[in-house]
Amino acid sequence: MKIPGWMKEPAFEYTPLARPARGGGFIRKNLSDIAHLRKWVADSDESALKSGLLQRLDPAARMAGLLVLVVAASLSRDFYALSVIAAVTAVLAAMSSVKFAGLAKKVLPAFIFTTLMITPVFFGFFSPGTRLAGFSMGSVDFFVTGAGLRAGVFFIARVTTMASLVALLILTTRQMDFFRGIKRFPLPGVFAAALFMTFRYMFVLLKTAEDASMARRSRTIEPSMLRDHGGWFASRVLLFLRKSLFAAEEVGMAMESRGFTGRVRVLKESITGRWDYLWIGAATFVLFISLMA
Amino acid sequence: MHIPDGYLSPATCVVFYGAMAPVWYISSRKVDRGLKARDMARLSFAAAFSFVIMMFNIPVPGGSSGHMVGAAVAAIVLGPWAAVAALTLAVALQAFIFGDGGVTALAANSFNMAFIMSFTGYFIYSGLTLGSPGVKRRFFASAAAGYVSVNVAALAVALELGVQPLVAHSPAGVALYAPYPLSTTIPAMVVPHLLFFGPVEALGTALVVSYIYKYKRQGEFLMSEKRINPLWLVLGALIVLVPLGLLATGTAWGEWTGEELSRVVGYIPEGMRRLGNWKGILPGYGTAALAGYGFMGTAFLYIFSAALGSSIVVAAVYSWGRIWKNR
Repeated sequence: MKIPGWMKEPAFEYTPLARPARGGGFIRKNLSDIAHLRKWVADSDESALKSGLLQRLDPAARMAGLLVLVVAASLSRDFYALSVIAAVTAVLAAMSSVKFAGLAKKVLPAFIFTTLMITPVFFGFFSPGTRLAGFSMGSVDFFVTGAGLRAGVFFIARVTTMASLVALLILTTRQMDFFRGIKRFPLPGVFAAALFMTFRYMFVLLKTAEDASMARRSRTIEPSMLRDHGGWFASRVLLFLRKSLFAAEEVGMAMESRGFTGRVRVLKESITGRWDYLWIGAATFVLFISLMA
Repeated sequence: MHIPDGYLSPATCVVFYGAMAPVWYISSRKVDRGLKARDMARLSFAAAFSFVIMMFNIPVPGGSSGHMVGAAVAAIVLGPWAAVAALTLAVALQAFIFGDGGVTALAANSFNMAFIMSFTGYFIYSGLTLGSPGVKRRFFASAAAGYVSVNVAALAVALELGVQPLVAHSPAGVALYAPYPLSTTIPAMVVPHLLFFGPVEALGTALVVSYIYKYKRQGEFLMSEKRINPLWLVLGALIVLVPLGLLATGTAWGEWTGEELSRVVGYIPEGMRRLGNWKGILPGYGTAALAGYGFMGTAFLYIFSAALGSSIVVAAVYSWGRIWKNR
């Protein structure tokens, strides 16, 4: 038997037949997005398991306090109030064993998007004012103004601070604690229960999506037409739909057989810890500071 | 499409939470009337389905890929109210667990992606498939539902961001939240959606809905088989066409203000002088608020006024009907 030359070479490249097909990039992207999402959830849960100030608090108190701080950041109208909230966020992150890199990774997309979006505000053509620095391109003069810089930096600082607080909530709260905490908020029990079930079933469907994408990728050996890709996409969405409806029936029957009568009962625990009250009080104090500033 | 935290003023967020509260209440009542276990599981799976199709990439010409919101698909398949509930849950999960979209802007994001997209997509699809549609008409209807719904939602986002400099600014006039005016936000949001995201949504919606019908599984999947009353479509079309009146010049005969009547007949009758001071909730259909935003701003307020007015009338007639029935 004659062995092809390419098989004798210790190459780490794809074999000619297994080379990913052109136009199939969306499948690789699907796999990458799903992997990214799983990593996000795993990283968050891992960080939430560490011991720290926020982790020691009751989940409902932790969520309430951080949401009060988010509202405080939203209401702040000057740099001083916002700086206080940003400093509080940094201290909380440090005392909760949240790594700066982990926090930055979660906040970076919002920061980059906002910075790019806000850039024109720095310049004189949008924000007239005192010229700070600039450059000319032909006859057009681009210059940064003091008013533009203040408005732009304040906007970026506010968005970043709010995103950091939400990231802090994610990084210090295990998913189970989040759903346990949200049940204690004055929300309909149905909403809290459905949110929890959605989160669980989302991973069931994501596994189906991952398997489907992996199967498609491993079986694609030639460039495919857009029409084929489109047909595959539609058929997979249909598969998710069928699986959703089938699983919903199964789960529904299982719930009924275990005595679920349609009434969502939520165990109403109250916050009892001294530190929980102190934490909510401190967060509310920061809210008042930002209102008065 | 997801508005992050810090882009909308607290007042705007409160308004959207207030506006969405009855929508969430009605959608939860519609979806799980009496709440059986299977309904709850169905709602959760519908939300999970919406979440997954939101992150599943769709191939587009040129070898690239894009994401669809999928609200039109959800509305056509599950019905508009179920789609509102499912997408709200998906948007809430994205905000709280994945940090995608703001927590304070949750209601605004739900309004755009869950409410506007679901209902626009559903009504367009229902309107275009009245009668006995064939394969091509169904394909076109679902594509149109996807395309128009995502563009209307993008326009809503543009309006929400564009009014921020008007509703929240410092004493010096510097915007405190999203800084760009409507003249910037509308083209910035609408043009990419008209040219790229709209076609992606249209293609995805049309492919999925056509595929369902191709394999004759509509009985298995399409829960929204209850057909829409054409009267609602006519009412919707009339609301959308209201701004056509802006093209006419002058004042309609008999609808004069005191000043105009004074110019015509030389004096203001005493009765009109006494009773004509009240200007209404939205004087001049609120055109003074967006006076500087030209035809688009005025057209938006006209549509808003028409929708508000007709909703109040429908609610009043409905309430009266309920009272009459219970007597």
